Amino acid sequence: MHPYSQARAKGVNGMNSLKINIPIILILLISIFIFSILIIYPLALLIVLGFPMIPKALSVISFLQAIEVTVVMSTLSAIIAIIMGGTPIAYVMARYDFHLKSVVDAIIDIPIMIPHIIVGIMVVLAFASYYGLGPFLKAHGINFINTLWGATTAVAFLSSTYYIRVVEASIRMISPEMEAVARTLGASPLRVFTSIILPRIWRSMATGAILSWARSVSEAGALFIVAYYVLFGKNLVYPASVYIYESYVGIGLVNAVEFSAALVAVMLVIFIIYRVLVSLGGGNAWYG
Amino acid sequence: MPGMVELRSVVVRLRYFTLGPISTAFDRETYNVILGPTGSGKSTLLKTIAGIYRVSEGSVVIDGIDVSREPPETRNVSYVPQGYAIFDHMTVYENIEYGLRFKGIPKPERRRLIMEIAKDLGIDYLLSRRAVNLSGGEQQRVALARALVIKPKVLLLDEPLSMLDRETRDRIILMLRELPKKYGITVIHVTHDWDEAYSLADRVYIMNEGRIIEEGEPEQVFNRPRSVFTARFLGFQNIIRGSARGGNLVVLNDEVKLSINGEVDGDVYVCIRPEWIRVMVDNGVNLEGQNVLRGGIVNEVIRSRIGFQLLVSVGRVLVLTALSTTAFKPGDRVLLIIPSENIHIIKIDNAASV
Repeated sequence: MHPYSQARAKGVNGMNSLKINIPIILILLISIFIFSILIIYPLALLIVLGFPMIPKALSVISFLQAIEVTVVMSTLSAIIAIIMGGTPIAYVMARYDFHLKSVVDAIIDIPIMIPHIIVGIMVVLAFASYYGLGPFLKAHGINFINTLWGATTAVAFLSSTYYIRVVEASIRMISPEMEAVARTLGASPLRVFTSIILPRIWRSMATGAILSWARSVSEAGALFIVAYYVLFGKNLVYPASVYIYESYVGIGLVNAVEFSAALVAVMLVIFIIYRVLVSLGGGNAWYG
Repeated sequence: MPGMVELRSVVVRLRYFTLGPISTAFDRETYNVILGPTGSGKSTLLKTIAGIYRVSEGSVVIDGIDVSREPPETRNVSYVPQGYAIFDHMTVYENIEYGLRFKGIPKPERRRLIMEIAKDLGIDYLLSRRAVNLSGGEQQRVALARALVIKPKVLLLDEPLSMLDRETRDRIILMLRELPKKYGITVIHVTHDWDEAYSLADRVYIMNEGRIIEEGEPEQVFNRPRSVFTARFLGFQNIIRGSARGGNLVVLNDEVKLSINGEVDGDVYVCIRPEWIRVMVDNGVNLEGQNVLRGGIVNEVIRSRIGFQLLVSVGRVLVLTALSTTAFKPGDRVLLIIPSENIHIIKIDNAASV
């Protein structure tokens, strides 16, 4: 833009905002207030009350095992989202226009929409009942109830949507012309993906993966049905959220606060380490 | 040499648009410009030649070989899109190198080719830079270098000048014009700007609604268009219906008579470029001669880079657009002189594509 017209545009904006300042500030204050009450206040209270008790919580062996199972399960599910299904689906949804696309779109959103208890029922029905694949899996000794596989399947079902949506949005931002040019320069579709698409979306993939990872860690509803406890090594281990539920129901609020603060702290630490690692990898700012 | 790129009844059906049928040819080592308004299908045609869109019917033939079923990477066609699509996560050097990597060329040879083309296009100073924050002209030349370094048979340019300022444009036009001979390639350039087409093209193709409606030498297409659509699109601002009774006299609106070169009969369109009409002050001096229209009154004056565009009413309803270097004012009385060789006639029956 011409510097003069830029300056003028700024001036005009400045005048406008002077005129409508007060209502906007009011709306902003109200939304900050609501946001604080809903999110910041409960979180702060949990951390303030629970923080001194974190070392104690983290010295309970059964709780550490619960965190371990939860992290393994969530990581497996995030890997499934990245490699097995999420990335190709995200690419197709971002690039192609086809009949029934809106149907596929809706299907991708189903995990967000239906109650998680029902998702648990669905996983049991699909993989561990007398119907569908159940008898076949049983005949081959594959068990979904109260196993790591069952738990992973349930949380992968629920968390992949987040990954797909984040990656899809970032692929949409890459001009299709860039892919077209790369093709005419001799690159096969796979090479176009690795040389043009991947360098631009890997950060979004990382963001999507950590989002879906965090979503899996948080899951409780579906796990109540599929894997209330998980046979891990030789032990029966509760997933972290079930563990906290048990401590609340069985012992009481103070006990639950202790473990809740510890889980939140562990997640935050992992989150921050992950972010730092991602930001170290390559200097480009290709956030989706 | 036969036509390098041939389109044989090509039809491409997209969801909201159908291209073609198109049958035409682009000659070897020539500069071809496809001209058409927005939405006429020019870019679709380019992408079809590049292989980004598959043909639904017909075939694309390059050097006698039908490539309709081949993917873009094996067609030996380079494509420079409108926004240049610079790979901005790479350096300029890596951008130019990109295509060479797939040709199995060893690294030292790649380096030599890149240096050569970069020097040619005057971007050697950019090579080690990251391909972000380049100016329009720099992006344009990086995109060209990247497209040319793989020695394609055909270079496809989609609106290559539309994002450049005027000064850069004029410089790049000189460079573009040399491409076919210098690199032995066929250039197909798409634009909606007829000035650009006129200064570059060896051959011009006019597109409208998914078809090529007219093609030919620039002189012929620009001065003697065959259809009213082409005439209007190429700046014939005066297109008036008239009728002739087998002779060299055409009557416009039953009142203004113009004599023309050649003979014509029946209903016609009379097409006159504004710059072909001479405008003089009507000071009553008896100026006789062919096609002198007296009693014109200036209605409106629009200032432009190349003079003053005047809307002049002549007679009861006829309004002509003329270009003058004199700053007339609305209300001035003028006379218009239209040399008969500057009157282009399109017969109504071959103006069907209006």
